[in-house]
Amino acid sequence: MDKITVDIRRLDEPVAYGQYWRRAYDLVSNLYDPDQFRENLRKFYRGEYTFP
Amino acid sequence: MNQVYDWLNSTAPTLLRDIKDVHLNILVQNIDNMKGKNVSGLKRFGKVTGTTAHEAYTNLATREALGVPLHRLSTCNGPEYYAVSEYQEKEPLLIVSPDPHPLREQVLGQIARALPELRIQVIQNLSYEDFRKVICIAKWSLTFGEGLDGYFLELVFSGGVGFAVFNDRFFTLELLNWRPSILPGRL
Repeated sequence: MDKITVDIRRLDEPVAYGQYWRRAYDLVSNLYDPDQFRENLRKFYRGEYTFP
Repeated sequence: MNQVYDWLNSTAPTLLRDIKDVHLNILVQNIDNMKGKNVSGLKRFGKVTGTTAHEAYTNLATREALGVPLHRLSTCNGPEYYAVSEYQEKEPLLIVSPDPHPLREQVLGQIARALPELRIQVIQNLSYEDFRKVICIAKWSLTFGEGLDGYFLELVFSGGVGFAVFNDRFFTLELLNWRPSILPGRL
């Protein structure tokens, strides 16, 4: 349970923080894309479901 | 959803009388909330579909469990809607989701004792505009909720580092494989 406090201490300096943030940022940015959302919405109204 | 079913059940004869095509879509935002829901019961009122918010449960198993067509929709969000603030612009602030968790107080107590210089702010009674201001200056966030939620995502989009309780029902495999910032769910 003390992992979070260890992580915060370890990451609380500019270089480690920046590198760690970038990895998380890239991973979640790949999951959320407004253009993809709009395309998903178009497909929904066309009845082109992911799992019909 | 069961409430909607009951409501439709009592009002459908008049409410839907003049509606030719009825399409009911279930917003599947939290897979845990789908247990015990009468999805197939809705089919008697019209076409029924489900749209999902998270990649992790957008799969054939969920489609089969719900018994209706399932579509990956996600949410209209992305990094371009946020300004990234650098480490130097941030404050020693940990924002915390208000979600309940059996070990919540224990975890927060331990953080407070180990890191006395860290300010802890539970996000509640805050407008979304004020939330956006807070995530610009917060270095850290901790969510006890779904994990891949606004407390985690929006902080990361704003240049922060997010922590979450491990949850294989919401996080994707890619994130689970890289999870040094994700607390184990069974602490």
